[in-house]
Amino acid sequence: MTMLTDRTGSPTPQTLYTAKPTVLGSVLKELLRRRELIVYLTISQLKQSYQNLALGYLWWFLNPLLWMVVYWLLVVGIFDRGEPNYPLFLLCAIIPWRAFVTSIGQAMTCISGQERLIKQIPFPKAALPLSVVLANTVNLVFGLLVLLAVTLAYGIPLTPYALLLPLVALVQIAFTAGLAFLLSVLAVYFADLQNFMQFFTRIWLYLSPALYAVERVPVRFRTLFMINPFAPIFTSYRDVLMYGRAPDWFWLGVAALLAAAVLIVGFWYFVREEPRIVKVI
Amino acid sequence: MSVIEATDIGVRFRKYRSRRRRLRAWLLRKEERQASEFWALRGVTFRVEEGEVLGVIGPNGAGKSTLLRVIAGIYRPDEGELRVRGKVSPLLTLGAGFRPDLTGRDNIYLNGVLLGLSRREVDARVDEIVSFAELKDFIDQPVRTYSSGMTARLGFAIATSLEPDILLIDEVLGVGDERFRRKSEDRMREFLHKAKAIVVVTHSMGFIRKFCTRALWVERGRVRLMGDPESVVAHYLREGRPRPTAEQVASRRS
Repeated sequence: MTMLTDRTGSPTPQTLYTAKPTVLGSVLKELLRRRELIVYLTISQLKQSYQNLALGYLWWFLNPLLWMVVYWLLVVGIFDRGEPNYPLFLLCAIIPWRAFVTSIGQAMTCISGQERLIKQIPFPKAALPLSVVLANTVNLVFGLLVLLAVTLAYGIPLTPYALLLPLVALVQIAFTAGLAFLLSVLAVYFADLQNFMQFFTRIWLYLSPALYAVERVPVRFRTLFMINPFAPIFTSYRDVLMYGRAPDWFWLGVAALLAAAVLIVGFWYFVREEPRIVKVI
Repeated sequence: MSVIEATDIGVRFRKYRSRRRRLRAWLLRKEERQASEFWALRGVTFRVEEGEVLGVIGPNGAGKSTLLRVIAGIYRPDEGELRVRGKVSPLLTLGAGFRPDLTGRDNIYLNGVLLGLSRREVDARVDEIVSFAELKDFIDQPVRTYSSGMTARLGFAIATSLEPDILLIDEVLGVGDERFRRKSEDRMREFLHKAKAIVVVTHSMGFIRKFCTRALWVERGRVRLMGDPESVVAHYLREGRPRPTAEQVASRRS
């Protein structure tokens, strides 16, 4: 869709609609122009998730803490395994994972669940998955602050490497955003995707070094294992916080490249499908 | 100067026999063969000049609402081109973007920015919206606690605070009780004066005759007749008796 909105010359905007495919740059420009929309969608998303719960925002901390207890009981209590400082070890993975899984889940309903809105008001639809990811980024930031506090409570001294925390988070967010763009469209075409993803994300978590350390994975599988972006992401969170050392730059770099690729492909696919989505939902 | 210029526009929908067919078509990349195409609009050409009130008539399923959605920028035309000069307000269903768990005030802001206002523009309008909707005591309550009348009033107040150049109306205005309905009709009339052009979809021939400067008769996605409201309405009433569709005939037999 070519949307030439001329805002410079005359005070009245002029818009031209044709069947020509949309140019990526024009969508980016439009999103930038309507950044207030993205901000308000993000705020609404945040307010909505907690307004009905008695414990409100506390749930965002309670949820990973409770999962931490579950996994701790399972791994330490039943299997008698675990790592040093195991609760902190677990939290370093569960808090970021929670932000990811929530984003993915909400992304799959952010378009398909908004039929009325999308069929009545024209606006850049990419703002919807984007606001889902932004809202969960806010949650992630709070989660990482909790993680910092727990680290200090363990008496682990912070090193300058803790300053790399935002960088690791950025890789994670870029990857999440790319998948959110992809899945928000695919969920419109195939409603079954939501059911499927519940199982898939669970397996994904077990195949990532969340409950165990990378060192437990046999060396011959190590390369394959590390291609999963969450392997370097989880270990990097631990490296910069728990162990106060530099992350594995090579694998974090690979994850960053993968995240960038997924983001570009996801956004491109979203923009390509946007005019079609409106007719399908 | 024309505010809306539609040249040979067409809007196509693809229908699949089932969701599974769509999945198969998508996986095998055989979109064309699995789907049956359906043109909700085709070859539609018209202009709306400044100061005009265009009434769109036609039987159900003729493509009238699709036409409004194309002008509003919701559906992209699959053929032809459409030029729109000015800010368009889609007055389709009121309160479409409401989130029930958020307060009325939050919803005013969210809806305002969705409709293209800036935060400051909403700031300037919020008091007027609240008082017009008569919701002063409830505005900080979640919208899910509102009655349907209250929700509709709030939606109407937001939608009409936009001051658009081009107003689109899809047979609305059953808003609230008798008193609020009169109040909203007053505002609509005020609107009719301010807007540069209006496109109305309606089944009310009385409205077309009374308010419209031109009428457009759409049938099966094509323009059947366009021109002076009196003569288009006369033709429509004479020839446009909605013929029963195949489905209706079938259901009557059974």
